[in-house]
Amino acid sequence: MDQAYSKIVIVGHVDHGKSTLVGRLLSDTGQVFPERVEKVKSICEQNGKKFEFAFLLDAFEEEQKEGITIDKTEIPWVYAGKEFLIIDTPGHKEFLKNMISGASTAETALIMLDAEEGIKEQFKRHSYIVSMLGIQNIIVVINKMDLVSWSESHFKKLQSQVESIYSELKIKAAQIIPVSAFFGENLLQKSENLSWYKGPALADGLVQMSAAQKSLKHDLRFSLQDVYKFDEKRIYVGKIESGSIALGDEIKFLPSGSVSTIRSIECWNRTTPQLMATEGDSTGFTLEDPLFLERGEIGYKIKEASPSVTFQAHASLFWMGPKALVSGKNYKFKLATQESDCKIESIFNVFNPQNFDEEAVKKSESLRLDNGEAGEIIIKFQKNIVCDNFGEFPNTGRFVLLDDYHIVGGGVILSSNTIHVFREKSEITAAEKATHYGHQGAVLWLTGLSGAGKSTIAKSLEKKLFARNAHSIILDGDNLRKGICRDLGFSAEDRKENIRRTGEISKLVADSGLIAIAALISPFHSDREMVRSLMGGTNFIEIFVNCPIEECEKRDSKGLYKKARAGEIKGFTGIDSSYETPLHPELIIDSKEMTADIAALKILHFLLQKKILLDSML
Amino acid sequence: MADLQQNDRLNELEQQSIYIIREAYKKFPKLAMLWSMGKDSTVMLWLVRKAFFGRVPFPMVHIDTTFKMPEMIKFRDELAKEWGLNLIIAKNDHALAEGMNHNVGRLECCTALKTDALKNFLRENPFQAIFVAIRRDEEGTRAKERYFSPRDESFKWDFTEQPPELWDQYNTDFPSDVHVRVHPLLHWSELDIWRYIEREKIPTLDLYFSKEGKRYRSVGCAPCTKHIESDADTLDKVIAELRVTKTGERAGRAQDQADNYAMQKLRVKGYM
Repeated sequence: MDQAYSKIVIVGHVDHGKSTLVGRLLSDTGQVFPERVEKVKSICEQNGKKFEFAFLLDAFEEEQKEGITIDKTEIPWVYAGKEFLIIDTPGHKEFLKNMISGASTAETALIMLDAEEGIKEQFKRHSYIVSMLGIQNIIVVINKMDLVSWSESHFKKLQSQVESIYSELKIKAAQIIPVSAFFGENLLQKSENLSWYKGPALADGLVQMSAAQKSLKHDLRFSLQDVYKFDEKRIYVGKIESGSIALGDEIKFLPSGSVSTIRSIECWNRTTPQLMATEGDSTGFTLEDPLFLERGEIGYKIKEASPSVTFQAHASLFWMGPKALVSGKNYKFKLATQESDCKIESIFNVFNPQNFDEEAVKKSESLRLDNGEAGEIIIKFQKNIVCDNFGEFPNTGRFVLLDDYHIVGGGVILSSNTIHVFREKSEITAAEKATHYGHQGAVLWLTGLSGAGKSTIAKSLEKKLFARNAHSIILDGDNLRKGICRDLGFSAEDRKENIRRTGEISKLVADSGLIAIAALISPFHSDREMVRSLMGGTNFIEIFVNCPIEECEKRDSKGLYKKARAGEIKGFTGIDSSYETPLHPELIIDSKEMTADIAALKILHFLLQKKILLDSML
Repeated sequence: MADLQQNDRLNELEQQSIYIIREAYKKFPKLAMLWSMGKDSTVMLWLVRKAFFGRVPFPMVHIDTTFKMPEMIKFRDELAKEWGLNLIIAKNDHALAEGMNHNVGRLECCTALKTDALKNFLRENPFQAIFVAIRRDEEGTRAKERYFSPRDESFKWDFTEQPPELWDQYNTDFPSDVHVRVHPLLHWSELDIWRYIEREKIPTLDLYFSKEGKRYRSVGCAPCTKHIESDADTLDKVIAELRVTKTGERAGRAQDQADNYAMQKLRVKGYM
C-alpha cells in the first residue's frame, strides 16, 4: 500500500540553506499564514536582520537569535495536488540525533549542498545515514547558485564530486538539482538564470518521486505489544509490521513457538465484524487457544516465510550517545516490541566522513564508535531475538540501543547469520598476520561473462603476487565443482549454493591472512551481495571483468558459446540467462582492451592503493 | 479517489496514535489524560476508547481555570456520565483565592491557573505520565515536540536536549522521578481532526459551529478566547472553511500573542 502522503526530510551541512528552502517552498505556494510571516518580520526587524524565511520554522528564541536550527520541524505541504510532510532538520553535528529523529520515517531525502562552500563533513555524514536508514529517494540540491554566478561548470564540478563520493559509499542519487533557495530560483518554476539546466524544478522533482513501498515482502510480521484481559476475552494487541491477518489464519509466535488460529479481530464502534487487518494497523485479535504470550513475540503465518531467531546479528549502526560505544559493554537492545540486554562483540568498517583524502570506510576493526560515527557491528543478545534482514523487512530489521535510559544508537540488521563471524577467534590478530605476510587477508571476487578472462587474469595475478612473496590462492568455479561442490548441478538453487560455498571458503582463506582470488561468473546481483554480506569485517573487493558478449563469444576458448547457441547447454549466461552488471564494484577491468597481464597489474596497483598490500611489497 | 486517499491518511494517523497510546499504557502503570473538552482532546479520548475496545482504563483530568465557557462544563459533565469516565477536576485554589485572573497578566494567569494547577496536581497525584493532545501544526514550538517528552522534577521542558525518536521506537524508559508528557496526536493537522470527527461522528462542542455569523476555532478561557467571523454551521462547512483559510488556528488565543516567544516561555515552564 502506498502511503497516503509522502514524507520528505531535508538534511545537509550547517548553513547550506535547509530551513530557508522549506520556508521559501511554503511561502511561495501561499501555505504560510500571513500572521506568521508578520511575526517573523517583526522579529527580524527587532534583531536588525533581513527577512529570514528560515524563521518560519526555527521557532525557538535561541534558534532565531543564533540563526541556527536546533531541533527538527515537521510541517505539511501540498503541491500539485500531492500531500507532503516536510521535515526540516538541524545540520550541526551536536544535533545529529534530532536530524536522525527527523529522517527515520522519511521516504525521500533532500540533501542540501552549498554551491559556494562545496562538500563538507555533514554532507557526507548525512548522505551516509539517510542511505543507511533505507530512504529510497535521494535528491541532492545544490543551493546558493546565485553566489557562483549560476555557473554551469561550477555545478558540473560539484556534480562529479558528489557522484564520486556516492559511488564510493554505494549511494544512488535520483537527481541533482541546482537552486537558489533564498531567491526562490528553480524551486517551483524553472529558472532563467539556470537555462543550461535541463532537469525539473525542485517541486516537480519531488512530485516525480514515487511513494515508497512500506515493505518489500508481504509475509506477515505481527509484533505483540500487550495482552488485554478486560473481561473473559484475551485480546492480543500489536502492530502489523508487514503482510496481513484474516479470520482463520494459523499464526506461529516466536521465540515461544506457540501456534494458534485467529478466532476474531477485535474492533469498536463498527457495525460489521472486522474480517482482516493489514500492514500498518494497530490491531487486536483473539485466538482459538488461550496462549500465554508476552510482549515482544513476533507472529508470522506458518505457510509464509519465517523470521530468524538468533542470539547474534551483523548490523550497521550509527551512534549518537555522548559516551562512545565500546565493545564488551552492556546496552539495552529494542527491536519492534522486543527488548534484551546485549553486548557489542566487534566494531568494524567505521565510516569516516571528516578526511576526504582517506578511504570512506576504515576496514580494520575498531574499538569504539564516537558520537556521530557509523559503522558495522557484531552484536550478541542476552536472549533470543526474532528479526529479519532490514533489506527484506524494514520494520523487523531495525533497532535502537539504549544506555542508561537514553536512546544512543540506531541500526539495521544486515544478517542474522553470523556463524562465520563467531567461530573461534585466532589468537594471532589480523594486524600481526598482515605484518608477517606483508599484506592483509582479502577476498578478490572476479565476476564477468564466460570467456571474459577471469581465470586467465586470476592466474597472472597469482604469479605476480607470488613473485612479491604474497600468499594467494585461486578458487576457480570450475575446479571447486570437481571437489567440494561435486554434489551440485546447474539448477538456480545449486548455482547459488556453489557461490555461497566459494564465498565461505574465500572468507576462511582471507581471515587466515591470505589473498583469496575467486573467479566465478556469479551473474546475479543478489548472489554477489549475499557473498558480500557473509564477509563481516573481511576485506572484500568485487572486480567486474567487463567484456562485451560479442567478444567473449568470438573468443569462446572452451567452445561453450557454440554449444549454448546450438541449444546443447541450457541457461547459459549471456545467451538464455542474464548477466546483471555490478552496480558498485570496487574495480572494473575492461578486458577487451587489455591483456591479462596488464589487468593483473591494475589489480595489483589497486591493492597497493588500498593498503591491502603493504608498502614493503612494492 | 481523493476521498479514498483521505481515508487512508486518517487510518494511518489513527493507527499510529493507537500504537502510541498502547505503548504508554503498557509502560506507565500510573497514567492519566488531560481533557479540555476541545476538539483535539476529545478526539484523543475517542482514540483511547478505540485502543481499548470501548474502555477508558485511566482517569481524565480537567485543569479547570474556572474561566472556561459554561458550554464546555456542560459538555464535560454530560460526556463523562455517558461514557463512564473517571473524571478528576484540578484547580489552583490558592491562586484563585488570591484573585488571579487575566487582568494580572495573560502569561502570569496561564502559568498560575493552567501550568501550576497541573504541576500541583501531579505533585499530589503520582501519575508518571499524562497524555496531552497537542499537535505539531498548532504553533512553532509544538512542531518540535516528541511523542514521549520527558520533564524534570520541576516539570520543565528542556527543548535543547530532546530524546531521539526513531521509527516506532520511543524513549519509554525513565528514572522514576522523571515525568513524561505523551502526545499521541502530534502528527495530526487541524484539518485531519475535523475530517476524523466527521468520519467517526465524534461529539463536539457547539461552540465550534457558527451562530449569527460567529464561531470559535479554538476554545479556552472565556476572557482570552475570541470567536472568528464565520458562517460555518456544519462539519462540512467547517472543513470547507479550513481548506482555504489564511489565518492560524490559535489567532484567537490571546496568550499566544502576548510576546513573540510567548508559547516557548509558557511551554518551557510546563504549559501544555
